[in-house]
Amino acid sequence: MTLLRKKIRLLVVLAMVALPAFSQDDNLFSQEKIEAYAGFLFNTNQYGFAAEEYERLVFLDRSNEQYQAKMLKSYRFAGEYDQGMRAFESLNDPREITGTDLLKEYSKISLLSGNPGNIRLMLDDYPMDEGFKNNLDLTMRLISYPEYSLNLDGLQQDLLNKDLLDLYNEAFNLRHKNRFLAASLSAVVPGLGKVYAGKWKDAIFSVLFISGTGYQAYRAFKEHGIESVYGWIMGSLSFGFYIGNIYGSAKAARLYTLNQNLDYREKVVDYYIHQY
Amino acid sequence: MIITFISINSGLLSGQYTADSALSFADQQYLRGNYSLALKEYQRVSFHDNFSDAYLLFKIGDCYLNQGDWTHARYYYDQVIRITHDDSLLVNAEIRNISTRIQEEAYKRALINLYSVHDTVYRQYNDEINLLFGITHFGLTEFDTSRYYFKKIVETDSLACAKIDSLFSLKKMLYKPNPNLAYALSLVIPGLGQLYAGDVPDALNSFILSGSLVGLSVFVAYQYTLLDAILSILPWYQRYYMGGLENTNEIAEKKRQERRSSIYRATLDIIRESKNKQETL
Amino acid sequence: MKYKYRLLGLVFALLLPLLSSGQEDLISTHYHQFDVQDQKVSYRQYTSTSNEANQIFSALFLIYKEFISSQDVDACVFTPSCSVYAMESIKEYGILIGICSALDRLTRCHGFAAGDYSIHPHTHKNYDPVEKKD
Repeated sequence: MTLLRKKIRLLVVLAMVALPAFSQDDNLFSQEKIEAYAGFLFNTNQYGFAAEEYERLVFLDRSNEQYQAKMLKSYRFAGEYDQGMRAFESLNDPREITGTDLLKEYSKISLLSGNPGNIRLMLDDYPMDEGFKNNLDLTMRLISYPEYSLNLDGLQQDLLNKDLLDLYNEAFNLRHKNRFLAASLSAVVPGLGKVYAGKWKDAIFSVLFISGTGYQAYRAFKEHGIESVYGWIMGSLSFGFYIGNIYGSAKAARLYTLNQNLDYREKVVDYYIHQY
Repeated sequence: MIITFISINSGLLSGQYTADSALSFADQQYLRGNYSLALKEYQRVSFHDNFSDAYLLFKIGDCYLNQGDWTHARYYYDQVIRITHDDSLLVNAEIRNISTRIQEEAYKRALINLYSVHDTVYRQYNDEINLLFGITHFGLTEFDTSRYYFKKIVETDSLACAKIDSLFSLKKMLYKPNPNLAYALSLVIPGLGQLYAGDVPDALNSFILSGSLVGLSVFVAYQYTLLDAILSILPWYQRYYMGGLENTNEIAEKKRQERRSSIYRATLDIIRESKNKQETL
Repeated sequence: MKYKYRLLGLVFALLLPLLSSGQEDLISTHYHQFDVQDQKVSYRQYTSTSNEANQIFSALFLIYKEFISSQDVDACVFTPSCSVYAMESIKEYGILIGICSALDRLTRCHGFAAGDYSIHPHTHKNYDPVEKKD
């Protein structure tokens, strides 16, 4: 027994002394090992895991903007925009960014998270490449449309990207459908409001519903007089469909405008992300 | 235990995170059910080891399996099968591969995997493999083949074999009610198929609904015109008549499946009981 | 990479009973392989009893679902179905607007609706839920 204990104690002491010495390069949390593993995770599409590893690296070496950019990119690919923004902003001040790579990544995740307040502030006084700055500024203006009106004031037009300018011109062609107009049109001619809102197939069916039930009510009243139960049922259905169509036209116009604006914004953000 | 203690301690003392500490952390997280955390650490160790250790690949597969990501799990089990020399790892990887295929009801795929199981594995673990064969053939509704494999598991136990035989000889349980027959019956009279399949409330529901629509159309045809009846009632009658047919098929199918399932579960009970008895002997 | 896992053998030995999921475990895994899932849904969640009118509509809705809709072909092109949509919009907007919205939905429920809506991942039908009031 005592022999065994002595042996164990010896082993423990030996291990305490020897293991750290042996395993100097066995540390899986050394900077280069974390970096290699993070790269592997990113390349195998495990972006959530990769983001965590890059965050570890940012923590180890805050001055390394490569790590920060890769962390933001991993969060972006993982679709965790808000979390990426939080992780970045809790460790860094965006105004202290020096490299373009990081600035681009930061602006992308800001745009995607729908919270680009800091970018807007940075456009005022933060020094950056003029060409990039002008196009970022234009992108910011495009995604604020139609809440804010659109113009090119203060931008150097010769520096602007041609595709972004096309998107700028496209904004003026967006049709904002008025829901009151849609409702009024449907009130006058059933289904017309839906055609105006771009739903001509729905318009055809509303007309069929209203006229079909209306015609049956008309026949019943004609043959059996005003006390025809069938006539009253069909008549109220027809009236219901008529009112429903007015309500639906207004809703369709509102949704048309809403979806159009969302699609446009998505297109702008998508373009920016793939271009820069 | 001592070695574990030492290695973790030494790791902590020197501020090091070694493969050992990563592994024990991963094992801990795995046992706690934090499969995502475990997955990341198993992968970390495996990555720095160039994915050469079959045990780690197996654990990575298990993490994916427990997270319900069967495609990734099978990818890692396939790697294990490719590189391992350990029969226990090999068989578990094979079994998990096949088992997930069966759970996905991809029985043909499971059968392909079953036929390619290594011979050494089959000899050592033939009970498990026979069980998987039995389940797969049951899923393919090849009941005679299924019975053959189930009986092979308990071949030394003649009583259990006889029980399985008598279960599988209940043709009424395995093949009835016939969904096609039920469909044909409902085609003639709405509700008749449901009655045949044993669902009386639904049979009545279907019969009354279709019947009243027929009655209503006759009423409308007399009161108004035939055209009114055709325009306003016939489309509805058609819908509920067709709906009843679809229901009939579903009800009969479900009933038959329930009966098959009860035979299947009873068979597994017999196998389990027989095996327990052998172990206690 | 040259390290041998010192405790690998030990851990493996400890985990072996868990690993080699014997036959017992395999039987449990597949015990319910051929069970029939009961897909009956309760429609009570969509009803509202806040006033008499709502109670009447809720009762009609439940009767419709139990005795009529259950016999119907799968005709509605939307998720949620038109009747559920009607109940939910009455619940959300009250009787008048709720009925208008439901009747509008009925006219939109036709075979050419595809493409105007997103597709629901489970039912693979056009996804058109009742909008919540702001």
